[in-house]
Amino acid sequence: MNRDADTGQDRPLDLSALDPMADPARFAGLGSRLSQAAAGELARRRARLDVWSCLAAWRKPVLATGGIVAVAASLVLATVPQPAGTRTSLAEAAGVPGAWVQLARGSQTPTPEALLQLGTDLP
Amino acid sequence: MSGEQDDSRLVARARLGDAAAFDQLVRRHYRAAYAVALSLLGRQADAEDACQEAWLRALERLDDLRDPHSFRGWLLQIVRHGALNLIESRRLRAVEPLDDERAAGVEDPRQDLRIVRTRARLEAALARLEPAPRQVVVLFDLGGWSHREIARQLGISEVMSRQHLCQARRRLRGLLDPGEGEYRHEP
Repeated sequence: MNRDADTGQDRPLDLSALDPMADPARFAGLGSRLSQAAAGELARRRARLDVWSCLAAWRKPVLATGGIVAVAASLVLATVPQPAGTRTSLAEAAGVPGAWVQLARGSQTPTPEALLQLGTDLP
Repeated sequence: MSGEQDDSRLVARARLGDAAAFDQLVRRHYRAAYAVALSLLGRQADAEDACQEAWLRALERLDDLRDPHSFRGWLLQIVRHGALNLIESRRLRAVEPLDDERAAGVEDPRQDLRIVRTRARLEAALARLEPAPRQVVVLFDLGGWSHREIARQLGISEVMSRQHLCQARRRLRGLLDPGEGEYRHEP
């Protein structure tokens, strides 16, 4: 045991006279004063609450749900076998014209005329 | 549910302007914020003013808080900076502090005179402490902080925090009651 313990010096000091929460009425007054001062900023924040902020507030659950749906869809597509002869390439599934795909896969640089021709072939 | 989880929800609601959520944050963290302000400023009225300013500033900057779980630490930094700025501005203006009894008495004339006097004596005694021991004793004995929390807040070791606490208590007891503390003669 140290000297302070012997003399009682390590006892906590009573600082409650400086504690605003020790007096409920005083603390209520402080809280009320703060609430009044904060009312303007809180009102401004509520007014800012439009469609976009609502969407922003929902972005986490929406993204989480979207992720779950994407994973489930991928699992279904990976496990269900496709019928023979119906194999679809990614480019076809995305709606890219076949002529474009062939041109992209080719080793030759397309001429401007060929590109113009492709433009007229758009569906 | 932990306090931090609650804090993040309350912060999210306060960001949308929910006054009840803001009030709940205030009730939850007022004591800690006040203890930090008082530990630096030493006077109740100053600490309350600094606290109010800090809470309003925190509300205005709430969108800057990246991690709502760390609301408490973020708030206490705002309180600390606000209190230090107040000290610096007073130093530059060289404002003489009010007489202790007057400073405490003008806050609320309805208050019990005995409490007002006790407060004035405590404030006067705290003002005579070195900054570090004053901060430690206020955070520990009034704020209810642990030595680990104090050490982290002040950037000192836990051992140093204990030493400051012991030193501050001894000095305060001596100042408040000259029959005790440093003026006490051991047999």
